[in-house]
Amino acid sequence: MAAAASALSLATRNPQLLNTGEALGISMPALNTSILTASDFTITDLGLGSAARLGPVLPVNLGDLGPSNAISVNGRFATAGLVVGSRYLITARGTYRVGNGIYGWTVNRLIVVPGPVVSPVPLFAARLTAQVTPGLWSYTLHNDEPPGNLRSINAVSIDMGAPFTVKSTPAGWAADTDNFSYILWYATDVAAPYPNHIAPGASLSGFSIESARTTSQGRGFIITSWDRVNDRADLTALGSIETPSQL
Amino acid sequence: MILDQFETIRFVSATKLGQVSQFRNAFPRAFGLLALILVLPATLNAALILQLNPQVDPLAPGSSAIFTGTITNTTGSPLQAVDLFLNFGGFNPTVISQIDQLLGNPDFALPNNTFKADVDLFRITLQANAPSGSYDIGVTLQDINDNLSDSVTAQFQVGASGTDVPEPGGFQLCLWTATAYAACRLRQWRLSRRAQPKEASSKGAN
Repeated sequence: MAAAASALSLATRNPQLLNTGEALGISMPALNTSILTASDFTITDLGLGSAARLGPVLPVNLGDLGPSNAISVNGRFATAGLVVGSRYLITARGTYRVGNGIYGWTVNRLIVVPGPVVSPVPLFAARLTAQVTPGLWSYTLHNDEPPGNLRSINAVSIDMGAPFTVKSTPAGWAADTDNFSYILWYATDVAAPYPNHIAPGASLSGFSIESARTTSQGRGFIITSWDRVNDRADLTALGSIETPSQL
Repeated sequence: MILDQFETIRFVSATKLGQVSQFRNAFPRAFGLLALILVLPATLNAALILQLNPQVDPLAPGSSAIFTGTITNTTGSPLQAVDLFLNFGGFNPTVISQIDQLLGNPDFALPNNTFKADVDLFRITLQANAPSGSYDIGVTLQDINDNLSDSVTAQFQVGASGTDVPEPGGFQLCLWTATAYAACRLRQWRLSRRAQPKEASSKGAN
């Protein structure tokens, strides 16, 4: 029995796994093995057994997935409750578009949880959180480095995928944007002691944007740090956050 | 080997010229070749074969249903059920709220060149407001070594309730068949009755 004409055929490949002790990072390639181009290939759900998902913020629109092309389904899960050496089923779900029709997809893959290792790349301990009301996205930056550490937050850049305008920017900070694809908020300090940087243990809110879109989708962000002793750029923190939906 | 097969075909062709003794030798070889032609493509393509059992009963909106089927392993490697993954596409997300893989729980062995029938494969859960109709899901089976089955279609029907799509019962079907057969025979008998007097009268005229 042949599959329906709109049936996207997907296969997964062996995922890359990184257990840092607190979180299990997964990067699972998903390959389009059909002759269809899946437009607006979107991840709406990502699960690993009963583990809590730390990221990404969903849904995530990954664009078009052509025949024989692959995308990575990436996620981070809390390791609490996961047993090293045991098998767990990753299930990713989502939608895609062919013509005017919207269809669903689901892929599954069993993984064995690896033992914890030190992250090969040192990361800046910082977070971006969002509070969303229809048409308004408000962000707060958190510097999670221990107090007394040398790294302060000096900028954050967020990928966007829909028209928006900047609603507010905290004092001592400025915004650079094309009002569609990105926004960069940065501290306006140009010399030490950088009073507008966000110090270790501190947080700063007052970053917000407006959009005619009323729903959200996850997009990536980067927080950069400044080494105030050596007066130079330092580590970065990565993640995903709610932004105006592109659909 | 291919050259040998061509020789076999030539032997078969030669029998048309009356070389009966050669035909006797060639026939088993030709039969073997035919069997090879029939079997070879399936062997080459189907490392993993997925066959779904039909979902006979219509489903009610908001309900769940388990799809079962047969898995054949000709990958050349022994497999466990937990080495197998199901992927889905082409389904209507306004009808199906979720698809959960059941295959692998419980685990079982699937040695090379064996099959396992009536395995619980996956469960679908319908949206509470799923409209009535007939729907498809594209399904592929994959193993841990990245062997992939051909895509097959899982079909199901959604009805207002679990029983409101009528199907003829066995007795009804027999009755309809008998009635249709009787009507057909009756029509034939009437036609033959009408034809006989005409034939008689035309003979008389001559």
